Amino acid sequence: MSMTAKERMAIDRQHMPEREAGVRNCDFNEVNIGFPEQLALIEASRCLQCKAGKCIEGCPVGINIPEFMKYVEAGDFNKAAEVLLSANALPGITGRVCPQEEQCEQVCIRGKGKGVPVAVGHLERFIADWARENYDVKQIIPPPTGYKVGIVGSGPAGLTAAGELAKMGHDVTIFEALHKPGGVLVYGIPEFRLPNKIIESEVDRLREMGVKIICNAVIGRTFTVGDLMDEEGFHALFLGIGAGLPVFMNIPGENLKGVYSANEYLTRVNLMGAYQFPECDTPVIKGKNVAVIGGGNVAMDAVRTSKRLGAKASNLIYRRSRAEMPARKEEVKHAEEEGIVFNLLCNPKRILGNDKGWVKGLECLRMELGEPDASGRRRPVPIEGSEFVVEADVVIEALGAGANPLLTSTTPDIKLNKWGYIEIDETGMTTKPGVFAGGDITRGAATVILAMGDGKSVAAAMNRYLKEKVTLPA
Amino acid sequence: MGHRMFKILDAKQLASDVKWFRIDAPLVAKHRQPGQFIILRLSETGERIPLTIAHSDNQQGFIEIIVKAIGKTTIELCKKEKGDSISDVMGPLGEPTEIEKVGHAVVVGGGVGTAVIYPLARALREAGNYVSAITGGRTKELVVLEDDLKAVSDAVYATTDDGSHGFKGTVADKLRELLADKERPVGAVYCAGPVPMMRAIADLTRESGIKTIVSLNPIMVDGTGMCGGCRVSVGGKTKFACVDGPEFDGHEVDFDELWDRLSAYRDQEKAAVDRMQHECKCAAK
Ligand SMILES: Cc1cc2nc3c(=O)[nH]c(=O)nc-3n(C[C@H](O)[C@H](O)[C@H](O)COP(=O)(O)OP(=O)(O)OC[C@H]3O[C@@H](n4cnc5c(N)ncnc54)[C@H](O)[C@@H]3O)c2cc1C
Ligand SMILES: Cc1cc2nc3c(=O)[nH]c(=O)nc-3n(C[C@H](O)[C@H](O)[C@H](O)COP(=O)(O)OP(=O)(O)OC[C@H]3O[C@@H](n4cnc5c(N)ncnc54)[C@H](O)[C@@H]3O)c2cc1C
Ligand code: FES
Repeated sequence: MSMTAKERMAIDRQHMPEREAGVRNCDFNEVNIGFPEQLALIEASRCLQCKAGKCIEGCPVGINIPEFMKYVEAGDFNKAAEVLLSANALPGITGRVCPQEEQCEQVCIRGKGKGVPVAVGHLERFIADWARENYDVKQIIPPPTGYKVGIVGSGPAGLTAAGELAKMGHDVTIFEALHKPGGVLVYGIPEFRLPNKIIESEVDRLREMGVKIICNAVIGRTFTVGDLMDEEGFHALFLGIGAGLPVFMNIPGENLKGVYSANEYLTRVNLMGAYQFPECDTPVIKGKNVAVIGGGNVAMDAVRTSKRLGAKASNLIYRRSRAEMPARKEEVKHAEEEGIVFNLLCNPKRILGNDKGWVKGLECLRMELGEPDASGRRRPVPIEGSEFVVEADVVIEALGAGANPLLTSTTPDIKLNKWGYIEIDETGMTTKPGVFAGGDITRGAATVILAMGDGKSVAAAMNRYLKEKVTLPA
Repeated sequence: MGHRMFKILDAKQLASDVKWFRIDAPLVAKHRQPGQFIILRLSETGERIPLTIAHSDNQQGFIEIIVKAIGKTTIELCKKEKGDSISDVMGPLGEPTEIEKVGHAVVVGGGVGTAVIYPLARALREAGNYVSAITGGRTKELVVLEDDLKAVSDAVYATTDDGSHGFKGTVADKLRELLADKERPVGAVYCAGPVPMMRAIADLTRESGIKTIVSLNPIMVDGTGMCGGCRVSVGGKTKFACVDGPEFDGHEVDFDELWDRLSAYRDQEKAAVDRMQHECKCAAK
């Protein structure tokens, strides 16, 4: 406590232990090992407790990071967990997947100039993991309000909204289309980055709070939104259905065998356990030479997965340069360490097949950076005649996601924007009274923490709506 | 973990490798319409496979499926009996069939494709159509649901390749006869079965332009339009069969591509069955 700012400044950022690249790229166990207690205490003491507290603003859910750091440094993990959990219900998840370098750590005063920011994300992960074992969430649930609330989708937005609404005493039911709750956290993000047991423990906690979870229920088919409101007696709904529509490039050869959307590839491996085939029944084509198109987190997850499935060569194909890659920095670094080959400034033109209908290669065009575009990024322009072929027996397209129309095509009274995402007012309500929405289905593919932030703020608005607008029969 | 299992209420062997099940699934039964299907998963380690809902009852909350044992999951499923449970049943999925009044409707089913056309025949007849049903198999053993079809159609024609039962020839041969009948012109054809059969049917009606709806069976994973694994080419456009289909205009479908894509996992599928049979033998010892 008595450390001076100068002493604090003298401490270098502590390195979080991770498994060795050549070992971890052969299995699906988590890459990061996490701080041991000793390192966590040292790292927390790097925080200057500066007055500005820019990190709080940098955090989409406004965690009081300086206070959190103070408790970690003092070894009072209980109090640290309290601070963390009061602002963020799923810190074990965000500590692992948030793009901290664009949020809290970007504005950290220790990162100014040549400096290195405090490892906020690693410490969040440390306390969250400690709390999962040791912290007793004394959840006092108020008496039932009599309001029945439905949540559609069990991704981070839906799970967060469900927890908040249950804490307010509402009767909460989650409807999830797949057989397992968690959304992208279970079907998309791989085990080596975010172990499923972390999501399972969150889901169990919700169940303990009385939240009912109905899996295998596809809203738009099993029930429509109208059925839930008019026939099943829900007083309000939250739609957290994500951006679950794969985007294809529309280049020749996409329907050859061995071509996957990242969604399909990752779902087979993560949700269905194809990496354990034949112990698990779902197969996946492993490929000796895998080419993954894209430069975001989804592309990184797919290409690193292919390596773990035994590919000799795992190639990433990205149209722009490294600086523009939207993936988390840590994932890019890990991918490189694991032997992923980065083909930058390359744009796929067509997928080549053999006479048996299988992929044999990906024809690409080299690009160079031209004038800056509207966003200020230099636009990649093709170099005439620079075609070349990347040998590949599996091609995975990881180009982002769109709005899935399965639910919204059955709700003409819910207004969509021109890309098919749901429009909401400032409280999070759609154009259908009592039906709210948040997360990727309102923002377009975004992040876990933003989805959670929506879940929390919209839950508060739903609570107000119920109390003000819905009269329960006496 | 509070997970609801789906109980098998009844089961019946229809042919040596074809079995009928009635499953307790009230949420699926509630809004189900003809042409829709389910995706089921037998256990925690199981694959998700699509199966047509042959019949359902909203009041009693059950659905019925007809399954042909051809690989690991369907063989395992066909070993199940009344009282057993299934881990997950999701649905109803897919767009319902557009039931129209076309006059003379011909439904054509090959093998378990008959499970698809059975509810169609019923619905088409209820809509006031004259319904002819053609159900075919290689041999007598493989012709299923003939009696059930009789109850919901105006005329039923069973066909076998070897002539062991009914008409000797393929379902396409029989359809050609019906198309030639000027007394009762065919208004539309609905077809489900193996890809080569659907292609043959679509080829038959292509020239005359008689509306021909085929029910496609690509490999699926989620069934919600999230993965794109079920993509098929229809009229030169990519469609996701699980949400845009499974029924499409047979004259527009790229059957070659569908047929080829169905073979993507042949090696793994064979390995899975070999392994299962090996395990069975070991267990028997
Ligand atoms: C591979 C991958 C890696 C990513 N990595 C990161 C990362 O490192 N960091 C980060 O911050 N973000 C990452 N993202 C983005 C992040 O996962 C999403 O922004 C976030 O999950 C959105 O949350 P959500 O709750 O809005 O929707 P989702 O997580 O998409 O969940 C939606 C849920 O709704 C269900 N559903 C959909 N339609 C229906 C329906 N009609 N009826 C019932 N249920 C339905 C779906 O099955 C799903 O379970 C990644 C995304 C992917 C795909
Ligand atoms: C909309 C639809 C409705 C269907 N209705 C019926 C039905 O009513 N009765 C019936 O017996 N069968 C039906 N099928 C086919 C059934 O889904 C497959 O027979 C089953 O998936 C095979 O799984 P398996 O593990 O037993 O065999 P596998 O050994 O895994 O596969 C055998 C063959 O089935 C196909 N197949 C494999 N996996 C899948 C999958 N996940 N989805 C679709 N096809 C696959 C492939 O062509 C493969 O070569 C339907 C398929 C679709 C798409
Ligand atoms: S099965 Fe995944 S999109 Fe159709």
